Amino acid sequence: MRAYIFRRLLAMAATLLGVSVIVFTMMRLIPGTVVEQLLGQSALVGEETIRALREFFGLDRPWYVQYVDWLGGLLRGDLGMSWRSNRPVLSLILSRLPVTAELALLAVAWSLLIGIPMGVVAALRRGATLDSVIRFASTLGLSVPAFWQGTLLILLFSIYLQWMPSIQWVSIRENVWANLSIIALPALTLGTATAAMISRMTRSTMLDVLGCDYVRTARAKGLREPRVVRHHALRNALIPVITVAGVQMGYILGGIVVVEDVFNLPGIGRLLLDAIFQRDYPVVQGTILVGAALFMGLNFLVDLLYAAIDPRIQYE
Amino acid sequence: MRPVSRIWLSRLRRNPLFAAGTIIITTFVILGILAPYVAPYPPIAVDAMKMFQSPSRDHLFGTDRFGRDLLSRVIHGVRVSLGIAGLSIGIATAAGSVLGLLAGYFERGVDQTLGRVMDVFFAFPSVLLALGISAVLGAGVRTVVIAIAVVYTPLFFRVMRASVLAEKQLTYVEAAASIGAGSWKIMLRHILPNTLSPLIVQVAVSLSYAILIESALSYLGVGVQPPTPSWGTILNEGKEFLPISPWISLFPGLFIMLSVLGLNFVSDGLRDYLDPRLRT
Repeated sequence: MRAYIFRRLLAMAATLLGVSVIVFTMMRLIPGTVVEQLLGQSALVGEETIRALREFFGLDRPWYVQYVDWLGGLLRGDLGMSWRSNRPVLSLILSRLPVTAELALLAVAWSLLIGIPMGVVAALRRGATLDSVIRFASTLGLSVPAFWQGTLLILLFSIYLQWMPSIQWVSIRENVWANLSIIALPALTLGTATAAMISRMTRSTMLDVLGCDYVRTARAKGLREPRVVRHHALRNALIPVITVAGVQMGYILGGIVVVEDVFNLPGIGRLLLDAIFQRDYPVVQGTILVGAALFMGLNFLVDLLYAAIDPRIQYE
Repeated sequence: MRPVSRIWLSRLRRNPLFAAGTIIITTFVILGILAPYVAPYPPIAVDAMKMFQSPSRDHLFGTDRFGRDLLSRVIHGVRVSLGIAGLSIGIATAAGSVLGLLAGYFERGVDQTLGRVMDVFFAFPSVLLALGISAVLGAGVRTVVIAIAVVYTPLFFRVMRASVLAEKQLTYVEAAASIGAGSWKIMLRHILPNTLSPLIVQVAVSLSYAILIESALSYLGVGVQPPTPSWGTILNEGKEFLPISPWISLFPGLFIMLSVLGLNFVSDGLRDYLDPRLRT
């Protein structure tokens, strides 16, 4: 197990290096350099100033020197400075992290809370009307675009029901109730597709498990149905569902950008989007890099969890 | 393997959801092709006298802030949104399966190199990668197509590579090799046709995600740009006017949902038939 963890970490470091190369290359493909972007249309600036600025940003050096320099910074936790706010990118990201983390956690929690029971019920009532209703609902949940669902919820709650949460962000430490009233609808929206996915997956693994010999044995020895379902079937059915949850992390991390935009939440997604519009490339670069690193880290944790829960899985 | 058209027909009769999905998608494709003839108005015809009209007999879906007919815009949006999804997934399927075929067949160095590169692209959450690409290339139809193609190529690579690796173990490949068939012939004539089932399912699933990604990028303002009517773009333009004219945001979203729903029904039906192991 320890050797496996070590090997995975090594592979992750290699992939992350690749990710950094891609992100670096992408930012260099942007037409014009920092200097042109910052100066914009002001053609009045002399050659001398442009050269000085290029030197200031280190653009006079060859690209590989720039990359190594940038990479060295990354390793020290230096993601560069924002061109617009002149603050370190890392501190910008960290300041937005609580909003995004709360949103993501609540979304995952709600999707598990609704998705697993739906899947279990559908599997137990296989072929019945309830099964069809749940299956249809989960396919619908997969098909609704998050920004449209969010728009409809806003329309329903704030415009027709006059239920207006504060427009200003309130952190959970300031006022729990106000915070939850702001974040409930966004978390609901973000978690819908994942809930649908988890419900479908739970239904299909439950059906597999319910057909297994040990479930028949459990029933044959006279255990009551709820106990068979909870202790024998569900426990084993949930193991593959965990992997789906891992893959869904990518969806959630992407969905955050959309949901934060719809509900106007000051999280990392909003930071990235504003940076794209303002051509604040160090921030774009930094947030995408952190997003990819988070995605990889979460998937790694899911794999470990998978191994910890299922003793049949042995990693050499 | 029976011809695809036959399979489709036999599924239509047995699976009502699959039939519903096929009908939705066929209708949308026809609507997209015939858009200029079906739409009652040109999609960018401005009419200052008819701004923000709610749905009526003249304008079934209402009008927007420029007095443009929303029904016409949404119908033309079918063309843009489905066109982008089809083109980008087409590119990703072609690129991903060629590379996957090579990696799975030759293994060793080819597989190692391609596999590492694809792993790196897989490390990005898809929407973030698409956003990054659009930040670099600038918003527009071409950018969205490239972004979605880049995001989905690694997926087709993996699907193809996995099925080639599995097929290669089978006796018929050995048989072909023993009667003197060359690498390319084995790959294209023998292995490729047997890998199509998982690929077809993957294409159907990916098309639905492509529609969602395109509309998300356009909704956020970094995808298709106005005045070109994609569903996401229309929703983006309706954002500020939500309280006064909610119909602008209502109909394009409904069309996105219907098309994705149709594709999901189709891909579920295909999966049940072609790949029973993954039945959901």
